[in-house]
Amino acid sequence: MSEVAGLSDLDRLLEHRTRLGICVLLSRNDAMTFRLLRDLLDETDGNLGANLSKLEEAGYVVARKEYEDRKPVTWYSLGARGRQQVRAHLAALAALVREAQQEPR
Amino acid sequence: MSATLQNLARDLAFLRQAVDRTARMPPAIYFLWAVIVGVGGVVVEQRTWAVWYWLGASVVGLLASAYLGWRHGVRMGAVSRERGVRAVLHWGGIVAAVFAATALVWRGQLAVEAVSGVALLLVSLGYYLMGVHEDRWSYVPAVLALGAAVSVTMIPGSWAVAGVACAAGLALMGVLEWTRERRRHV
Repeated sequence: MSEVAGLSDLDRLLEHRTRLGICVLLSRNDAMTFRLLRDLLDETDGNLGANLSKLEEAGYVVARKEYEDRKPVTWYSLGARGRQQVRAHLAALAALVREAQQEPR
Repeated sequence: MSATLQNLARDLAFLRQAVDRTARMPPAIYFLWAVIVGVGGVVVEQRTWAVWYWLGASVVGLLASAYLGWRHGVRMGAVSRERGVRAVLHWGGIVAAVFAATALVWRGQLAVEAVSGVALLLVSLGYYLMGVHEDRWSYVPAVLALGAAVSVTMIPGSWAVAGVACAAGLALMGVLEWTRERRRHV
């Protein structure tokens, strides 16, 4: 069986919807707070936190803590590695979709 | 394969929605321009200082909008320098075009009666292009500004009414955006 175009370039870490969502949102913004990511992705604190930790460990995402009105606010941004991986992953997804659309029905 | 692709398409649609929600115009900017346009509509009837009002208000409004956009981003939790620069370039371009139209009046190449209509057409174009590229709700103020441009060109002395109608439309947009934000965070 021949390999489908783009399949081998997919990033395993970004195959999870939440992690892909985090990276795509961060690729469109310089920085985003935990709260907004949670609201936009419709996730629980625990689930989002766990996925952000995985992305941080892999060096995709960088966290920065700040205080606003004495309350801690965590800002996340995409690191250089994360930006590169997201771009490659999205290109692979696009190739995959193109390939699938060419399949005979 | 097709089930996987369906899931993928669903995920991507969900992500696109999430991305769109971070690129909305802050309600405060709509309210600011509602005030500027509403007052401006009345001021235009007093011809002598109308030009000065609009020249000053457009620059101050642009700078205040940039600040409000940045502050809104920080408060909401999403900052994007690229988006901010793009918005300033977009609206800065429109303001520069309005200035150029005013300069044509001073050079005697454009009738003073025509400059208000031209300025409104440029503002309408600004909102229309924003609707095309960013937020389709911007078609609403685009239509309002176009209507105002037509009315001030066709009906002499209709500036106050046109200004107040545009201000009401902008305020309504602000309320809609504010409600949408509140619903998201409740």
